Amino acid sequence: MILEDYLKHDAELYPNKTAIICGDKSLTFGELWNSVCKTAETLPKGEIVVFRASQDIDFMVKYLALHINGSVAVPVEKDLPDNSFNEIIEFLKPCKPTPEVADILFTTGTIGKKKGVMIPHRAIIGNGENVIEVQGFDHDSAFITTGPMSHIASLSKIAPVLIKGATLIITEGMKNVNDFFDAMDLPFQKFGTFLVPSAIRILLQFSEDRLRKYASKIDFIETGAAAISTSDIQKLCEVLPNSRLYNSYASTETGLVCSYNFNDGKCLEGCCGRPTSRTNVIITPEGLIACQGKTIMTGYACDDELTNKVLIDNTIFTSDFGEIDQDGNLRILGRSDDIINTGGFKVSPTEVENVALSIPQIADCICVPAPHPVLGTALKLIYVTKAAITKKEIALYIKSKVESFKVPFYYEESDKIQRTFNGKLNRKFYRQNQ
Amino acid sequence: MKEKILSLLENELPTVDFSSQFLFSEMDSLAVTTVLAILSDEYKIKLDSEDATPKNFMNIDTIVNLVQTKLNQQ
Repeated sequence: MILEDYLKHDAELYPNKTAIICGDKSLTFGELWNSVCKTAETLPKGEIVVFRASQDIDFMVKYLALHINGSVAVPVEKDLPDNSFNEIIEFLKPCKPTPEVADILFTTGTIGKKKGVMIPHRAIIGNGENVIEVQGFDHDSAFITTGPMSHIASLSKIAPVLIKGATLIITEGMKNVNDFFDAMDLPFQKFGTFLVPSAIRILLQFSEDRLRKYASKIDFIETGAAAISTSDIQKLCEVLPNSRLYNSYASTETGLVCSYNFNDGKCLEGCCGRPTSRTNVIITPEGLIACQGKTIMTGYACDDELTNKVLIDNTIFTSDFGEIDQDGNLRILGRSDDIINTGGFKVSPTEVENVALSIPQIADCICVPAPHPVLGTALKLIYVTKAAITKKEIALYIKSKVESFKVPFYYEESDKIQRTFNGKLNRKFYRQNQ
Repeated sequence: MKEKILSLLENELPTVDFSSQFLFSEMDSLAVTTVLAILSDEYKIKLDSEDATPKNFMNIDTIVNLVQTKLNQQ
């Protein structure tokens, strides 16, 4: 079965139940199925389709319609600059994915190279089944998405909604927090949501009272994609004493692997729980996390070399250090590469540096992680100039070339950039001095 | 006050065009949160998420009005 078979089933069983809500628009399962079928007639069949992931019902309809047509959906960031959008189309031209591939999601590689993660239909279903099994998602749940639909954390929540015939509420993110709380005024018994740690920080810092007010309606909150501070998980447990609060280990390549309810009285730091019944976790001799199971990718589009490095014998070898504790829980210990996780988005510092170095006035630079009160970690660009340029000019130039989450938040002009004896950027020096 | 607020915000958020009349729609969640945090700190006022509306964040003048209103309420 593919996801759209569940939608057809929902449309037969619950034609008048609300399937999706976005602002003042909504569709029942009957209407959604009809819209998807009608839209499918206008879309290509058996092709790879790159499109911007808008935060609305049209996105959902197009995404599902592409699958019905046997096409591969490639949703990208809605603010992706045109040059990057066209690069992705060119990049995928030689790609001939197998029919099992449903989606290609782009993530950042260590050296800034694009990685198109090919996600098969079985992984989409497996992720949905995992959310249902581990987080207790059911028919009466309404799931509020707050992140971009091009990100696996949001996109993967379509599956449990359709498998269970539940309801999806799409919001524009946490910019207007009022939208998030307004969603919980809708007539549903219980709400679930996924919030990156920075969104939880925003809620705790600026909306604690309202969060308490809605506590009885919040069935569960899942977090992940970045490390959450101990103080925030403790505070969240105190504010929402009766909600299930999950910290998950997941990635685009592996899908949802483990999830731990930290509102269990123990509130274990860095704990992601035990693997689900569809996944298996192995710790390599080097201490890195490797994953197997129904939710893993089939490989990277147009990159057999990288695929063969990461995916061996149906096992994904990640760049995350971890350990399994005495109770079988996965504990995350950090990353083995230079990737910077900012607000749940993974950014290659090399990509940012290459863009900054293409500015004629910049002689040298390095992009480093720096502490930030909301994001936890923000990008900082330390740069050397050869001609006058303002911070604003640098930031606007970078913004014109890459997605907004890759634009550094902090800027520091310096006399020189520290390098190692063989001329490489000395990232270790800056990590220890930020 | 307007000049001071503008200077503070432009320094922290270099990619935001504070001359815009559609400021809220041009900001992301981090920018909105940063504005709340900077103004709370600088003017010792209590701003929460309910204050971050498209109306209050329409342009730099409406942000200044928001700060002034909060100061008057103290």
